[in-house]
Amino acid sequence: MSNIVSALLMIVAAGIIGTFLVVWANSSFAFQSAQITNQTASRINLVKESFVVEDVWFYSSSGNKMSVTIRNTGDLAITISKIYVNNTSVWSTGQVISRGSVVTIPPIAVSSTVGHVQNVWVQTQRGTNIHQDWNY
Amino acid sequence: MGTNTEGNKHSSGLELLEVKKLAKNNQKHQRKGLSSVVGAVFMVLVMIGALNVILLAMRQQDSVTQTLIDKSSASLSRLNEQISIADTRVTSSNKLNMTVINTGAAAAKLASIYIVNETASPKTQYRFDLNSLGVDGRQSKTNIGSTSPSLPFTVKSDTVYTVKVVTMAGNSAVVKLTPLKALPLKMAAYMIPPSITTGENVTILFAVTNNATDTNLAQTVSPQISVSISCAESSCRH
Repeated sequence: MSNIVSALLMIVAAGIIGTFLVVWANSSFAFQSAQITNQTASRINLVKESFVVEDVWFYSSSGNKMSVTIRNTGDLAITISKIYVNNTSVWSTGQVISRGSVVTIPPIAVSSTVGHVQNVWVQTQRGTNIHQDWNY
Repeated sequence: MGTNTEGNKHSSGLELLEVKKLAKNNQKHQRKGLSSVVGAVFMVLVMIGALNVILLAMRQQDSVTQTLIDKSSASLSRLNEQISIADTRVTSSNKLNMTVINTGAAAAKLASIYIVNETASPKTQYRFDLNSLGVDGRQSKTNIGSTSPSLPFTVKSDTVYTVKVVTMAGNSAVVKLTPLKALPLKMAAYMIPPSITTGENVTILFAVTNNATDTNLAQTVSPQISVSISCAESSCRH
């Protein structure tokens, strides 16, 4: 009789521990899966992101200004988050460019010198960067 | 004989007892094994879950690899297109007429054209969409601006322009366009032979030298000579 009880206790204990283990493992695996999926999606989006800085137009109108024309050549919409000129942040308003469209970022005040080459650095929200030199 | 029979009965009783003990021990072992089986089932369930996560990670990695391959291919295409503006003219109706040549192996898609009026103060810029106009590898595209496509832009005869064509891949070609009247051209007329006799034919060569290296002429040079030559016995005048 005691043997039966002890065996039953063993089975019940194994069942309870096993159930907890399976539930914990499944939730942990689900969390891991979601994390892997999200990380992969963000990496794929970063790789798929593609844009071209078609033109940077420097001009004088109430001070030195520039406008940047950007074409989204990738498969998904992008958000231009920051523009730097000679490593100085000059614009950070944020501009969404839908797939296949061209946007000219409105006049940006710059303290550049006419006749000099300016390094323009465009950065997206996902982290894609384009560095190019343009003549003022 | 009877004693033997009783002895046999006694021994068979002992055997039965041993068999019962063995059976009881077996039952105990079986009960102990049942909890292990239950544990093993749970472990198998956990292993299946872990295996699913590993398979998902591998599939996701495969997707990333495929995307990287596509991106590399696009980057190679970008490197393989090499466009340049081979010729720029202004038509009689003052329309821009350009020829873009692609010396690369990959097809190029022309995205935009930028025209800057360099004479205006301040300089003004115009942008026109070329709607992904295709230029195949080692091919050229003519009449851009005048007919295919026709741009809503009129070229002024006294203005210097900078024209830039940008492809979808981000490559560009730039050319400066200068009207004839804004560029000093060296001109010279040569008479062959230098001295002639009555009735002899003379050949006049008219040479125009374009020394400009950073600009294209907006129009084709076509000389219009109106010279009258009057000759006396000693010399000719014109």
